Amino acid sequence: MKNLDRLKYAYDRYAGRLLSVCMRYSPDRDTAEDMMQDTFIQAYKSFDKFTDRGEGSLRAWLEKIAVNTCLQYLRKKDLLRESVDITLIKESNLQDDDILNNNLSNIPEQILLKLIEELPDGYRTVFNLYIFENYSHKQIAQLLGINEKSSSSQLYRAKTLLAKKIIEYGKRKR
Amino acid sequence: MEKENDKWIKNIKGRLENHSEPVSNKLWERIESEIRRTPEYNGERSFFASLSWMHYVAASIVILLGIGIGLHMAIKDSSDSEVKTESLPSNISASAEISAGPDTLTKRTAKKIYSSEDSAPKTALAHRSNTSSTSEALHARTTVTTHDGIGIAALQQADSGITVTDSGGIATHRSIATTIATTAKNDITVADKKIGSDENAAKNNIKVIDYSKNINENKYLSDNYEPDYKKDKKYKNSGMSLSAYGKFSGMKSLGSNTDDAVLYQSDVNFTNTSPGLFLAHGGILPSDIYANEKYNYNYDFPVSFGIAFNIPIYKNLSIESGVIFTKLNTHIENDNSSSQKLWYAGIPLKFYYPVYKGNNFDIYSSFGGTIEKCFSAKYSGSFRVTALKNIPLQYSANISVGAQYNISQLVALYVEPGFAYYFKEAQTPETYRKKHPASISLNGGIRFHF
Repeated sequence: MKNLDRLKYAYDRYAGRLLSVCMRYSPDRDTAEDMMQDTFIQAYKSFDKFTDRGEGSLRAWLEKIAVNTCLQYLRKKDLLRESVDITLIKESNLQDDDILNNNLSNIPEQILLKLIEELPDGYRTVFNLYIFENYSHKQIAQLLGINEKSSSSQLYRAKTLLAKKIIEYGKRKR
Repeated sequence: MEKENDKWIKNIKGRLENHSEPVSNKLWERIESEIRRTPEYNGERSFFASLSWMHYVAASIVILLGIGIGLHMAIKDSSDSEVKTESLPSNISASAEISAGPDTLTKRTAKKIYSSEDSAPKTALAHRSNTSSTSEALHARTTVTTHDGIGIAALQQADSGITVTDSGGIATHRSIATTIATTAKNDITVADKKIGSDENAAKNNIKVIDYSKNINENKYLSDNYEPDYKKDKKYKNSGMSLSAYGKFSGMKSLGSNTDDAVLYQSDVNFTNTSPGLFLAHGGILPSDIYANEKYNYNYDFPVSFGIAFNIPIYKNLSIESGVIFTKLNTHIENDNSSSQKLWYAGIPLKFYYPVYKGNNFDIYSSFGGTIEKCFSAKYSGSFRVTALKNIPLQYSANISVGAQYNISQLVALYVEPGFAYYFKEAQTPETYRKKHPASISLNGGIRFHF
């Protein structure tokens, strides 16, 4: 099977999943589709290096490429640097964990993605790397070229801002 | 606040980790279209199917260029070898024996020799008159000079025999024979000078000059004959004719002009296996040179180094220029050895077009030209150097295929085998490039991308 055929197979199976990953990292859907396109082109170029280790390995491999591609894209567009200034966001205390969790139950995934998309690029990136990719602040700091405190601080502000959006969304729906 | 303890964070993570967004149908088409444009995709197809019309055009040009230059070189080599391997006619060796005889016999022999040799310049002259190109005219000149030189050699041998066996009247005929040779050579050299100075003038002059008239045996064998150069003041101090006879003892009697003589390439061709450094140099003159000496030329391989910058101009096409320095050494050997060292500074102008692009490995083609100026010319050895100046600009055309390994996004190593042709003029110094105008080159280096 040629690489293009293999890629089509991967696309048919994981395109929706990968677009979801890209949307978490991007500020809008168009950017997410650009990121996804780059992801599949990169996957096509690297298909010879992929080793099938069983169920889920292709998906994990593609998601890893997607995350790296998204980070490259953000770096290239200089989006990460633009959002490093964290002082612009007024700090506020996090809402109660249970209240937030209850509010979440009424929010569909697509809206959740939308709320994450609305976060500033730096916050969103740190949030994704820490929560979804399980990176430590040290790793994030190295990856994004920032210090650990900045990573920690951006994560805190990302969560605060996201919590606020969730509460606001819940209030609008009532 | 730890991420593991936040239920709402775990909730978000759990729901989004397996979330799948609906994808538009056009997205795959977009991706596929982009992939089909990548070199990786083209690399999957068969080699010939992936070639564009530009590749075929480029390949055709390379092949045609190769055939053309190959033919040119083959023709040139065969004509060169024709001149160089020509041996003395049998009547010349016979002349040495006959010349030891009585006066009348010697006179007849000298006459016979010139009658025989007369035909050679005439043949060459006929060829010369019919030539339309300067290169053929130059070849004709070489042939004339060579044949004339053969006659001279015969005379020299006859002369030596005469000197040993006769101290009386034969010497007069020796003098006549020498004068004949001198005059004929003089006329040929004058014609040569005209050819060298102006192509068109040379073509016209070729048709006008009638060598058979100058080699009229009755005229030259007359006891009252006076050579033309003695009548014409213009030729008296030219020095050109003297050099052509550098090997003759008779020449020494003519001259204080020896020091100013310029040895012509054609003369060296006759007595020497290598082409003429001395004329080509515009002035390296061994003061003690004799035309029958052998000179061996050894050339160091040209070594170049430089720096260049590459600018994309249209799509994948890019242009490269910079500065390049080249060292050209030539070693001349006979009893004494000497050498010349030339340094050229050049400006290349090349066009680059990628043939294959991989992740870390690229193949590209290039073509262009270089103009080079000699900025340092040094000569060392026992020969006297009269001048090292007026060295013409060196033009060259080249075509190559390069392979590049990208160490990083900024730095790449490359190797670039190619083919270059160096255009030469009469005054181009004798170097490896003049000896091998069509040569294969191998470039290599580090390339920085910005």
